[in-house]
Amino acid sequence: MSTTAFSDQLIALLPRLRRFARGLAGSAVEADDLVQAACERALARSHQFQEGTRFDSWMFRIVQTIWIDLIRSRNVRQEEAESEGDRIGTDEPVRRTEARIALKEVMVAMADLPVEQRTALLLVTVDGMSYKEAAEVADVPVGTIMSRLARARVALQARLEAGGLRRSRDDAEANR
Amino acid sequence: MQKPTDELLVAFLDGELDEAQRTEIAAWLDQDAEMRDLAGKLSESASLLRAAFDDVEHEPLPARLIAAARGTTAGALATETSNVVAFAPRSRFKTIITDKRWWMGVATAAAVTGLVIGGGVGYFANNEPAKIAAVKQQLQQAQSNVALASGNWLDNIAGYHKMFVTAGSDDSGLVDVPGDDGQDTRKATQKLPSDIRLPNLKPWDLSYQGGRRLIVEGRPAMQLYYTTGNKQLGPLTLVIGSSNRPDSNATLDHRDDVNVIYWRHQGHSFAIVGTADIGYLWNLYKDIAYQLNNI
Repeated sequence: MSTTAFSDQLIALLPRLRRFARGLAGSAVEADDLVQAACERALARSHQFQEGTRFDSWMFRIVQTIWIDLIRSRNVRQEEAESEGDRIGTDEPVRRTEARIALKEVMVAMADLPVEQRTALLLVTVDGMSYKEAAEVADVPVGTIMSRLARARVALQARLEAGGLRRSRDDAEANR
Repeated sequence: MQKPTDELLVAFLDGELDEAQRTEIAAWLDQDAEMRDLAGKLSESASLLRAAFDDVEHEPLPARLIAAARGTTAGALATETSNVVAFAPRSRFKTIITDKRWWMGVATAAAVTGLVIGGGVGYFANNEPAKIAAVKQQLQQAQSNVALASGNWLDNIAGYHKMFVTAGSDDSGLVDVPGDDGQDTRKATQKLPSDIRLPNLKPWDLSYQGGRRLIVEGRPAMQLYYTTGNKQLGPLTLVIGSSNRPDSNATLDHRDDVNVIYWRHQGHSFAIVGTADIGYLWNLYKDIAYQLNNI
């Protein structure tokens, strides 16, 4: 594949990579940093990409690898998990509608999940990959994706439900 | 059968089970209200999750990421320069091609040269040699037009875009097909080969102002000039024509401060030209490509 064709494919994939990275990193700026680093690494290692294999899987894997390396090098996984909820949305304009608030809650709830579960959610539920494709990206067996995804979905649901209950309680107190 | 695990239920909702497993889970859902409730909530939260990230995919791409994908920096991308060839006066081009069905008579740009050479021979036979210099000049100009119409078409359309922006669509010397009130792009469409359909750009608040005919890669095309109240997008031109070359992915190029995205799709060539942020143009390209796939 020529360099130009390689870059064209990469650019076409950028929206999906940004979405994936946003889910991993939480903040828009950090997500774009992650995608930029992935682009640079992909170009540097373009010779390693095997024709006939899926380019998107290869790129998602690079994004994920860089993100995991970043977390490990910082050794701030717990700190990151605690602070992510606060950082999400700081790059966005103030959300005024209830629908926006609900969507933001989803992102906050997802940010509380372990990175492995978040990755599975982002690849399958958000990006629409099959379990097999997601397993290739995450470099784990399909069964592992299946169990991570189930735990993630149930945990996400529980968090959203708890958030809804808390909000209802707060609303009730505010109306007293 | 034991009550399905969360894994099986989620896999069922994701369509990842085989027929036998699907039947079993469906049977459980029929008889277990609690499981039905959980399945409904899981589906709802999945929809919310997708919606939460939907905007990200439609955001304009930051220039720095486009640059990274091109192996350069945003600064370098923005200042990357290339010559914009001065556009030859259209009137001279018009004297060579006057037929309304112009692409029928001029299948390739080379044929233009042939016409002029033929005219030149006749001229020599009937006039004194002192006019040779004038004919040579005419030939050189025609050859220049041929070059513009083939190899340098990106320079051509970028240069013309700048002239459009500077002069506006009121300059009759720039516009073959005016954007009359109420006519929109209908007249422009009539000037194109019949298999070409124009994408709907109204959702982008783009208003057609006029267009001109040109040759892209030896085939007929039109460059359509649009303006918009959206200052971030700014005026832009869309080039659309026929092509006998294979489909190609969108390619980003630059001519001074003008960005060009061009591609080929099912026998047609396209280009978007503008000074807007690359991300905006890229999103516009995606919308046009989506529309073309559905035309």
